[in-house]
Amino acid sequence: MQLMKDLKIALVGNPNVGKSTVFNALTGSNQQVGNWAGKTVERKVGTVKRSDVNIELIDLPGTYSLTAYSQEEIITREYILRENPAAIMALVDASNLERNLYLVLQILELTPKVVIGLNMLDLARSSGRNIDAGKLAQWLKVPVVEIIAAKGDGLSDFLDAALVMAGTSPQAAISVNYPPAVEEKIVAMEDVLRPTVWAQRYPLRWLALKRLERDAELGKEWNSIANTNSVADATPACCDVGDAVTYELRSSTELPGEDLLQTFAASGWDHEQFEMAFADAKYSFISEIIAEFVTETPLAKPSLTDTLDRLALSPVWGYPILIAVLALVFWVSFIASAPLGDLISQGMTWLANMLVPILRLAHAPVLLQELVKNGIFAGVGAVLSFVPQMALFFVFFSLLQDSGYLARAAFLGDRFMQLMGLHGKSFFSLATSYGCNVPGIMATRTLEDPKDRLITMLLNPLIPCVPRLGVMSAVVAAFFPGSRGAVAMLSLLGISGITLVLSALFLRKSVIKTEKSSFVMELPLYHIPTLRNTLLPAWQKTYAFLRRAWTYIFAASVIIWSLSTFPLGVPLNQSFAGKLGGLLAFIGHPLGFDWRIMVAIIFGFAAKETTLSTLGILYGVTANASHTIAQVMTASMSSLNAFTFLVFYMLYIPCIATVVTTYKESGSLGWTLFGVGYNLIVSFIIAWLIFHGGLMLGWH
Amino acid sequence: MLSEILTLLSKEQSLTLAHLAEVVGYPVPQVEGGLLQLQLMGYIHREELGQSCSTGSSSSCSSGCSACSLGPSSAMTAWSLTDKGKIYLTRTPVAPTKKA
Repeated sequence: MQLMKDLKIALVGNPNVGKSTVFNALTGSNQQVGNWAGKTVERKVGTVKRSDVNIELIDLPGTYSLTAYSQEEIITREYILRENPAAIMALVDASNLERNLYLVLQILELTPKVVIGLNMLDLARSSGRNIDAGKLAQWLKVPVVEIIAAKGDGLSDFLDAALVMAGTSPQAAISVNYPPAVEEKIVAMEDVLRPTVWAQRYPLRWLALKRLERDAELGKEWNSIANTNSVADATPACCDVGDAVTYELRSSTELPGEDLLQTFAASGWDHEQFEMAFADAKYSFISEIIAEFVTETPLAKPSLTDTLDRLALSPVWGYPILIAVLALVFWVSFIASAPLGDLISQGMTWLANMLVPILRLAHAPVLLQELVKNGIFAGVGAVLSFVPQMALFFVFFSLLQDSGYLARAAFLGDRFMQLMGLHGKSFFSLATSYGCNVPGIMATRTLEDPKDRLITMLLNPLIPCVPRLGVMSAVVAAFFPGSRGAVAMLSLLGISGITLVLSALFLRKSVIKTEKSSFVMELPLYHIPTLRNTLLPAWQKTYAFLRRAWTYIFAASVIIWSLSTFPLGVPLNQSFAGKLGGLLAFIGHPLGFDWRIMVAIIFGFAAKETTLSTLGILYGVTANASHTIAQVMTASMSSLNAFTFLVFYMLYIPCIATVVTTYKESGSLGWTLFGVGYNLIVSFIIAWLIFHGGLMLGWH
Repeated sequence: MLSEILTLLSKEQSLTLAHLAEVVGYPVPQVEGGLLQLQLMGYIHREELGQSCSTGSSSSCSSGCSACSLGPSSAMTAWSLTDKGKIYLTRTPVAPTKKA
């Protein structure tokens, strides 16, 4: 071995393989930290002394490959090419071997002076994976050292192996064999490049591969040299290639091999085909050699996730399970919790009855007393009565999410979307709309195709959001007590679903779609939801809803009370609200709606949650303290009227925030108005069919 | 493997990662590596789906985000084709899958 005094050794690896741990352990406090010239990437250099050798250890940026896609890749590649380190310490995560070996293969294309540090073997073993480091070394023809960086085990051996590598002339490392059709083209490119002086600066095979890929960095470098005028400028500082380079560069500004690339492109071999062929071959090579030195200990039995997924994702059982889960969620949230809502409603009435005498004692004006009792308490109380339902819905939503089932539901939903002619990603937007249509519409941003996006946006308001579900469940609980409530609620959701499917198919016909595509989804493991992950998001969502709704409800309650009170001394149906309802009676009449329903529908446009407060005020809930809104409404309309109202309410124009968001996201006033008109017409037609169909069937 | 994954992503049927691994005939970690590689090469992109106000789908909320908190609080990860991936597939004959 020759005597070495100063050596440069580079530490290379994927991100998060423990490179910094190795670097810090080997260099201690002898480090210099800065940035790479002209880059924002951190540069770390340390020194290590070994007997008479002074080692400059450079921690190269973590990277997955050496293709010029990112700053990290370019820095690592350029360092290896330009600085020519005496050895490369390649750190490999044994628990993620495939991904890590891809980088190692790319390094071996640049230099054979590589030593592999096999880290995280303990993690690999715990997942049933045993790696024979000796065989790996034989296959790659480079030394492999087993290390546990976190404990400092094997680090000294790793560095020693790198020192040995630095002092020897290693045999040529293994090279990937590409398919014969590709190999032919590599050899042809090598033949073109070999006589050029430029090729002397790089490993020939690597340069040929990069030329075939039309590597952008090589092109940039060539252009920067070719555009210089003097011999000194043309010759890179790191190289002494003399006048020949200048002569060659001046003779042509075209990169060598361009004609050959054009020939290949004409036969269908563009740079992307080469890029893919090279990457594909490396992965195939890795999977072949891995079989030789990795043994997997099969797990004694399938994991819980595998077992559950066989059912949850089954084309046969998946959908019935999904429907059953959703039915349970809706039943518990919106039907079983109704008594809690009644309790709050009664509590608000009691509170109003307690407060009004106090106001009277304080000589507050009668109108103010009326506003507090029949305006604020009736309106706000009506909305508060469905807070338990909403909170429960959010608890279940968090439960499904935290358990991992929501992701499965989304996956099943994708198949359903495909059947409707929608993009699978539309599911996420539509599912989000069950919370609120505004974020649902914004979630369409993940859809690349503008037509997919537009259709999903237009379909979004057909999904009943939580405020709508809350109002619906309150009315359902009043008119369809007991198990009939669950049937009514599921029927309404069924109508919403069928309308959604038919609308999707209709819009697909009118808004022509171009192409279909799919995605690969990473499903999380199932696990038992924690209380924190369930209750905290549920509380945050409920609080967010109340905070958002409060201003609307309070303002709407005051406005509706004023409209229904003035002019003073007239009957309710002669008030401003009554007159407004009367003006719209011609729309409501075919559907069996009275003027109060029409006013509630109009005010629902401002925010859906105000509908219940409007109904509460117009039906005079607190005027009759012993009755809840349910009791007052059931005395005024039939169950058929109520069901027709619910269908219309569920499908008619979305709230103003949703309309504004649709306009902002679509950028089209025309499509926004089309959406509003479409919802109005569809809701009217379906409600009319239900009302008159019901009458014909004798449902009163 | 990489071109097989790309081909499968162009089909109408979406897949789970485990199912994709089964179809292409490679272990899940290897397929994950392949997906990452394709992502780095720009043929596919990784997205966070289902979170309307996350950076994966939208950088900000047009209505001041007051309604965003009503959506799902965590996102789901998915990979889909980029334009580069789509163009590549139109120019390249479809690669057969191991289990196709």
